[in-house]
Amino acid sequence: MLCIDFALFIPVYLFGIFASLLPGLHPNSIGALLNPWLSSWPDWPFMLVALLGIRIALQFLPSILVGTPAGETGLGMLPGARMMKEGRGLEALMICACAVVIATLAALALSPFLLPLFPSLFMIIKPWVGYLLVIASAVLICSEGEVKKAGYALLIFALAAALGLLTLNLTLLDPLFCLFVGFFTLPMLFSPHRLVKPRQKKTDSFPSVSLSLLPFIALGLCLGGLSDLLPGLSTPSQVAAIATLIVPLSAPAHYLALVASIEASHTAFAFSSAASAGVARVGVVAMAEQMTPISMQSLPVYLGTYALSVGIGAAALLILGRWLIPRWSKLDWPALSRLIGLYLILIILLNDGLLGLIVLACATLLGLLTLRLSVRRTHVMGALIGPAILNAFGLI
Amino acid sequence: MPCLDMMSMAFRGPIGKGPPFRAVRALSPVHLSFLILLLILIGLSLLILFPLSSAYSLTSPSGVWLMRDGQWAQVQGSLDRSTAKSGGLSFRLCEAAGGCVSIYAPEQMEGFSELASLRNGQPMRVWGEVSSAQYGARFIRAHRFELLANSELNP
Repeated sequence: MLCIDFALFIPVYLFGIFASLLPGLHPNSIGALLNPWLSSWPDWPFMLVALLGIRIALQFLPSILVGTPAGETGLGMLPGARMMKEGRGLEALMICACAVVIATLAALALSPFLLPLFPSLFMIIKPWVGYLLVIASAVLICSEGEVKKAGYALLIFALAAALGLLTLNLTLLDPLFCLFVGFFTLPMLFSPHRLVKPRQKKTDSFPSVSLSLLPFIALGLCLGGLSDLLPGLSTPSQVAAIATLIVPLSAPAHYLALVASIEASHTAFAFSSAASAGVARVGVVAMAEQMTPISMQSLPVYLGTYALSVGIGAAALLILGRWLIPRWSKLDWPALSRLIGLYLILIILLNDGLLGLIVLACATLLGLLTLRLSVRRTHVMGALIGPAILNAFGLI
Repeated sequence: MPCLDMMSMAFRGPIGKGPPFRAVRALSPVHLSFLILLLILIGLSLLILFPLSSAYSLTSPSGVWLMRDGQWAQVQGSLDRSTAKSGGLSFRLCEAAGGCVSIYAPEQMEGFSELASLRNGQPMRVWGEVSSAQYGARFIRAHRFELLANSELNP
């Protein structure tokens, strides 16, 4: 029986590795597509979780290589692509793998102790969340230095907030993917002067990662847990966007560790949250819950599947990355950029139709505007922070 | 150790450098290999202790025929034709589409006395283990059950 169980995972893992390398092909989409045929297969919910676990780790590879949005936060691409441009692609991969593995191990170990603490912690913070966000956003905008640039930053922040508010209320399959591809990926791909061939530092091994990253992984662990349990606060993407106010994007290694940790722990805590509170805030976990309820009895099976898959995903991330990254600079970048751009537009059209394309176009214009005005691209995080502020004051 | 060697070679990490208990100042590829291996071992251990079949799979009465022996299932339907058996009660649970599955409820099961007094057509949900009778027919050995209102029963 056990052999049958493990044999089932092998083709799923191979498919998962392939699917995780394609941006936009999230297990949510795979689940929605295949559920009508496979939902009566008793092991299907666990196979979906296996796909999710693989993706949690492996999604950072395309994100680092081509700057596409990754996962629930969608934000790993910012520091990842930046490190790749600086020739630190292998270091970025090592940071992602460390953060994902450590955060998953910690989340598995801490779930029973942390889950009861989060609600009381939230009750203390909740009345102050709105004010804290307004002050932090003001600091972010003023940090541009010049008055004129701060004015531009405020304009970008307000426009992004309006776009975010509209987009998050649309019935799109993956609204964040549309937004972030527009804000970051397409402007980068279609600005020829920004296309730098990311020649990597000559090294034959992965560099070691400083232990100074551990506090950021720990912070990500807490934020991942908070985003699971506190619907009033926000989604992981909003939490990660808000975290840019604490951990600046100018320290890409720290921010990458934080985002990877949020991704991994948010999903690990989602299982415990579903089992204890009946709330599943991750799409695949909610889908699996509908087929095989997540109870205290089935929780170890889900967590075991998730842990195994994240481990295999992390190993695949390092092995594939080790092979791909040194070869990446030898590719024909202008042609590759056009192909990736076309693929992203097509996947958005397939996922979210014309509405998705309209959101993508608006987000791309805003992304290009930040480049034109020479202000930091972090200000487009207003798309997530703006709705979080309104939510905190009970205005939406 | 061979596993570690293989992973370390894949990552080209410097395995075996330095004394084994020096203070860790940075996470090297070897440390990461250990952590990945630990995560995989935890996952495998959980799956060995709690195999996939130990979770209740949501299925329909006719879907039970596709399940393996020993797998845990959750089915819902309407009660039909209960018969007293030695040490318990046997009844059929039928879905609106007509598919039925036999359920065996042992006397020790919680709420057994209530089950024995139920009338035909009572909607209910049953959790239990899929088993095969001597002649190959599938049935569920019930662990517990829950009575439902008519409106709660999905077609």
